[in-house]
Amino acid sequence: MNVKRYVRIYFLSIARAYMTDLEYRANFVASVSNTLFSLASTLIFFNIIYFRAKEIGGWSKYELLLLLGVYLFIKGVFEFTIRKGLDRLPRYVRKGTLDGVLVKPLSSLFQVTISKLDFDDISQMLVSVLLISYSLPKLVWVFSWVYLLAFLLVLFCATLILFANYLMIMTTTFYFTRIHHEEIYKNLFQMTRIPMDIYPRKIQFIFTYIIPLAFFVTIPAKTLLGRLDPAFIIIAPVFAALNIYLSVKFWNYSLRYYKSASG
Amino acid sequence: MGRLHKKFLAVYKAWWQEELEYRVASFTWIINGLIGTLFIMVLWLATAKSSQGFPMNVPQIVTYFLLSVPVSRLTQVWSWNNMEEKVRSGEFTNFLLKPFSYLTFDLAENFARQSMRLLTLVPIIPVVYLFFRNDVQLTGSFQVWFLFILSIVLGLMVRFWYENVLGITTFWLIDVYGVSGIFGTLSGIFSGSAIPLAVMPPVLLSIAKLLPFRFFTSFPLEVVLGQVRGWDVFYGFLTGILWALVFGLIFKPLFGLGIKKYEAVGT
Repeated sequence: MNVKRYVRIYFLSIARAYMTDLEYRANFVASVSNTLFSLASTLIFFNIIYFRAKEIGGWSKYELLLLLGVYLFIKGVFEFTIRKGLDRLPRYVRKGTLDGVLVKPLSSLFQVTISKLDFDDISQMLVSVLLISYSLPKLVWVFSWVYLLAFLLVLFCATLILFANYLMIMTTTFYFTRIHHEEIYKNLFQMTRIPMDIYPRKIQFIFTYIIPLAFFVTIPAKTLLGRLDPAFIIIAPVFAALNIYLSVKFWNYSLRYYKSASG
Repeated sequence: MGRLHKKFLAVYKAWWQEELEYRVASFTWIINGLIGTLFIMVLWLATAKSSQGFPMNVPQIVTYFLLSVPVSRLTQVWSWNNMEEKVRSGEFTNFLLKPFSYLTFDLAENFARQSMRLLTLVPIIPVVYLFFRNDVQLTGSFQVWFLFILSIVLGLMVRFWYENVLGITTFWLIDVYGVSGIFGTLSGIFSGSAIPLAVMPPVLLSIAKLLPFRFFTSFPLEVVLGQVRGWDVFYGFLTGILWALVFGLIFKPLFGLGIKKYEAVGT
């Protein structure tokens, strides 16, 4: 695989997406305002919760804001990089237009993921940086290179696990075209705005290793706060590698079920 | 009236067929609503556990959120989305040529989608009930249950008119993504689907009581759980009826202005 060629095509796709977004500036403004409104709604929700209780599942108000910041960052990366491209897959399969992708001398998975990159989603990443920068000084938190590096590593692994899981879900499109099951996963992902510690231990186990929701937000946020069990710094990369390997294998295997029939 | 009835049924049947094709999507819609609600419920249970003097106890929280799933689904309409799609695609032109009102069509479309999707809810209710049966607390007289049903009908009316009035903005804006985000946020805060009115701080509570969003989910639940009683029930119904009337009355003139603005072009 020629990595240089893939990197060049990726940057060309980013440039194309940027030009498209420039053409639809009103959409960009609407999307940013939507991010801000959604954030305002979540902040009001959290404020009402903390109006009633000082902490939830061991998380104070500013710790929860930090968690929200991490959530928005991962969501922004996920939506900017692969989600919207993969969301197009059911249409490609239904209409038979995946043919055009398969005949090109590039990885089909790569082509599908870059088919839609959206600069609107960068606004979520910017808001997330603001939220993290706002909440950290309000906490009893001492800067440590170890925590920061561990956080970046776990955050990277979390993003890979999220990519892999979503890829597996979308790959099932080759078997069932119109069930919109990805909506359930998106909904589950939204729920990671809530720390997993509020659940009973058995459910926490399920949300860590079976449906790995805890990996996406709670574990990275805990790492930054210096509250994570160090074992996860080893578990996270192994788990991420395993998820990526399985999801790519599943994609390659499932391609043979593509019927190339339009409907 | 008889002819209108026939036309309504014809549109209803057509949409029912369409919905039958997407019945798995209906199931996903129900499951999705249930998952979101269960997460929020757990969060409020954790809040109640960490708080002193929380206004709702465990059975009340569980009953509130489990009932909120069918209630919010029963009052749901897709009128704004329907109008947006038709105006954007230019398909709306067809409705200007048809021998019956756009609202008749929209109502039939909503009812068909609603009935198909509610059918998928039926097998889920007993499963969820079995799982939470120790915490579900359903009491109340016949009168309370009757008022509960009426409040759902009221919620459906308020939402139907509300969505259709807001749908008219599409004639001017075409892309209503931003506006729908604003109203979606307001609805998320004040409808009671995520935040029960009983736990709101006093200032927000007084605002929520005046807005139409309360009728989408909260008001029927307040009625059946006994969170509103006596004259408050009456004032609640009065506020809802007023909102339905206001939206219903401004719809026609606004719709007329919108049609004048309509350019009949689409993507």
